[in-house]
Amino acid sequence: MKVTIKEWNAVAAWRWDMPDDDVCGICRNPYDSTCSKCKYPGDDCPLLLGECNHSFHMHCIFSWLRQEAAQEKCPMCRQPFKSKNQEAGATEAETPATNANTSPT
Amino acid sequence: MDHATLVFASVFPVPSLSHTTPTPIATPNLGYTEPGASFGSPYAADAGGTQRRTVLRNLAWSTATRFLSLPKDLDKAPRRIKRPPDVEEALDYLLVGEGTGREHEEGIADWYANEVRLHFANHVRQGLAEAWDKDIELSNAWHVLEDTQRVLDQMQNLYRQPFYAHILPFVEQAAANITIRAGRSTDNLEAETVGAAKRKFEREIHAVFAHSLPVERFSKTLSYVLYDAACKLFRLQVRLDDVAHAVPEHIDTKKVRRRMMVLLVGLNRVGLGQDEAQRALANAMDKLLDAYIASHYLKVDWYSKQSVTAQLRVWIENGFVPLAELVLECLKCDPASIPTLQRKQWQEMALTRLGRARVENLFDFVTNWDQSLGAILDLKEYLRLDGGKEHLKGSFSRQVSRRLLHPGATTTYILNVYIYIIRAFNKLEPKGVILQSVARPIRRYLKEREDTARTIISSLLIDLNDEASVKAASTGELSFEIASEMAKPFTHAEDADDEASWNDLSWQPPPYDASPEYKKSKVEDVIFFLLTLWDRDDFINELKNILGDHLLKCQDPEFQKEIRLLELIKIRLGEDNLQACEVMLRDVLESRRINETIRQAGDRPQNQPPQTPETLGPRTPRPRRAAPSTPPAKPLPGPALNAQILSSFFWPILRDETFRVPAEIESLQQDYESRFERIKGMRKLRWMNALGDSRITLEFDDRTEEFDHLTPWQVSVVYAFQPQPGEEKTGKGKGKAKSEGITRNAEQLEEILEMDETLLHQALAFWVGKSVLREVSPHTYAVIERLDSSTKDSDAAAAAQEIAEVQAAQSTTVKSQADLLNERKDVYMSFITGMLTNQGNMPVVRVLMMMRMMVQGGFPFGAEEVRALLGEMEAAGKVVRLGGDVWGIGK
Repeated sequence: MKVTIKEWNAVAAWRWDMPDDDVCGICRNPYDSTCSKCKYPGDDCPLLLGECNHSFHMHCIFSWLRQEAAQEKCPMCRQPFKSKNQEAGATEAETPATNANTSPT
Repeated sequence: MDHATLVFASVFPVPSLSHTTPTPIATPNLGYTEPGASFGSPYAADAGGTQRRTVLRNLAWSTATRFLSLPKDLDKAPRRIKRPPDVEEALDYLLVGEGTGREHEEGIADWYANEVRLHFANHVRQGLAEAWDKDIELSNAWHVLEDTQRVLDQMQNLYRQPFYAHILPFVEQAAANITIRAGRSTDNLEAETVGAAKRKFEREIHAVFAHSLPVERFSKTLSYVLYDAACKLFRLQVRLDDVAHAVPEHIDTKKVRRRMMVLLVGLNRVGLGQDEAQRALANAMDKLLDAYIASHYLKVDWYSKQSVTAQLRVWIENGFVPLAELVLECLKCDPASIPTLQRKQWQEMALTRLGRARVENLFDFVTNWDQSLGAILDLKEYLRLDGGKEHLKGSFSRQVSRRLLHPGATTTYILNVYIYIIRAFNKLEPKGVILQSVARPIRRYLKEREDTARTIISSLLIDLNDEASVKAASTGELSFEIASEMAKPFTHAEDADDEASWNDLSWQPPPYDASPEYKKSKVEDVIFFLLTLWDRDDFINELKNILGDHLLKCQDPEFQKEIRLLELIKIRLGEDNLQACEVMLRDVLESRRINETIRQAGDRPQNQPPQTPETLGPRTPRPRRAAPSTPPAKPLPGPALNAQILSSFFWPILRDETFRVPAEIESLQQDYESRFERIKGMRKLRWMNALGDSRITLEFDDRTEEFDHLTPWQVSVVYAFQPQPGEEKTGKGKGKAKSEGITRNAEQLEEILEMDETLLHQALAFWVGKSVLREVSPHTYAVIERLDSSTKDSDAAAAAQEIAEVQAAQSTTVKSQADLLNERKDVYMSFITGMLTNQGNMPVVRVLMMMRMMVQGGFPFGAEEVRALLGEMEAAGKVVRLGGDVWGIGK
């Protein structure tokens, strides 16, 4: 007997490449969920990994950095927050950060 | 003699006690002389005067009574019109002259009445008793009554005649004398005296007649006769004792009417038209009303769906009331016509009865909703009457709990009936108060049923235009009614809160009998009722599970219905908490796009190994479409891999048995995974091999078969029956029986596939059912390379197919609560043991609370499950029950 597989419809689940059961330090939602403002996870609500190896939902950390009191520091370790992830949102991370700097004059 | 004695005497004829028989002519007692008085003179002085009167009276009495006494055969005896002179004298003496009765003396009129009574008792009563002593047959009722009436009438005439002829003239004379003496010439007084005497006599006779008949039986018979007459007049089909009396087609209603009237007038004449007759009439009318309501005149209007109450009112007004009037007139009881108030009461009575008759079968009407509109409309008027609503609610609730809310009814049936109830009661009472109260038990019951939510949601997803699902609905798994409700255009009226709408000039307070939680709902919106069966959150959780399952199985690539359902739920229940559902829907829609992107991404930058599917056309038809109608131009060198990428966080917990998929698929999956990770940075894929489906072709020595919609584990198992590189030769060389291919036993397979045993056996059973494998010895299977027509195989196949089908029916893609509990039982048990050891004994509620707070990943169960766990642990000897709900660690 010979088995020929014509089609194979698989189901897969995606996860962020993060340790299990970890949550975003700002919104306390799991990474696999969304930030508190978003509806759809994944592309619409990506993660941002800082150089300090702390990661957050991108929207969460942006709104954090926008606050003056934050002084562009990671809320977890108080080191200046720089995005480690080049392809995801490094450039974007800069713009709101600078905006946050300039606007409150 | 007082009246009571007379009455007594009429029933128990004791002549010596009450009645003087006509005295024979004898020497009158002349008394005796006083001592010292002269002897012998009948005309002696004063004392003599009294004596003389006594003697005279006795003589006259004797003469008169002898003349008036009634012979035995009264009707044959010659009528004596002329009075002999002596009688004339005697009567004159007794009634006009000195002999008129003084106190304690019997008057001749009284005596005559007594005589009549006696005569009747002795001679007539016997004949009547024969007819009346036993039960009267219905068919005979008319005759008996008529005969009785005739006999009594005749007797009355006979009794009257002497009275009128011989006594009344003297009474008249006496009265005239009095008036003359008094100097007052008032004819009135004279007439009055005569009338009084007449009336008294009549009353005596009537009393005799009335007492001669058994009251109850007479009343019943008359009542039946009246009822029968009425039924004939109105041409009602009379049913008695379950025997249908066929009413002859041509009843001459005029004749019946005349016969009834003659009888009634006659009865009235002989004094039987009084209380008893009226009571009988009341009885008859009561029965008539019932009969009419049960008759074909008022049957439910199934065709034109109209109410029959108007007809009933007309009948009361033009049929019932006139008949009652006619009868009353015949009985001469109240010449005034029936007051309007009473007519109204009759109408209400009739409506009440009609209502009760309808309520009795309300459940049947509801289940036949739409055709039964007429019956529902009939009830509308009933509700306005006193007690109508309460009766309807109570009775219908009883019917529902007896006929609907039992384990024998399928959920679909209950749901359908509930929908009918909503529609019917909406028609009945648009405010929805009754609906709310009768629906409460149904809703509570539906909530308890496990499959309610599944049925509702799946039914909402039926496509009315799709034959397959319509078929499923007709088999009773899904509710067609819900689907058709869903198909109705939804008009979303933006209702502001009732309490706060100050500007609403047409505002009305809620109905007085509404319960506190009454909300003016859009009653006509059936779906609304169904979706609000549960708390919103519970429902959404349920929805999440069902939708997840459904999306994974769904055949429609566009997911139109699912989108629509979600929109609908959003509109009705609000948008909160629906995130998970939306994410799921988006996942399945997105997956398609990702598939293509990945395929293209695979196309360009790399030179793929040949087994990757980039050689497919850029738009492979997704296999989820019902059938790939256009086969790809090039034959496929390898299997096409499509994936659905789920955001695992938002999906319900899916089943994820792990096993090894066929090698070529595994490499495809790895390839897909690496490309996915390249596109979507920082993300990982995890294959859930228990889900999905597949299409394969099996090539045997003698045949080729194609299978669609197989589960991955089924494919993996059959794939494992292919010759492995190492054993290829031995497999073929072993082929002692040509019809058999490679043989493997269950342990081998478990090892190769790393598959769970139950799953493996399921898959094996499936393939045996499809006549692909054969169980050659227990737990050892072989490929059927050549299909011979041995019955053994087909029998085994049929049996196995059955097993496989049952198992397949049980398997869903989403894990059930029970599965989850089983899976984590060990964790929970050790947690409980630890807790009870450290913190001492505690009741179940506390255990539950602690577990909810402390257990990693939460504890989504209730006290029942905790109790079950504890019970299991008790059986294992780990814990003991310390009375009540308190548990502790066993020593």
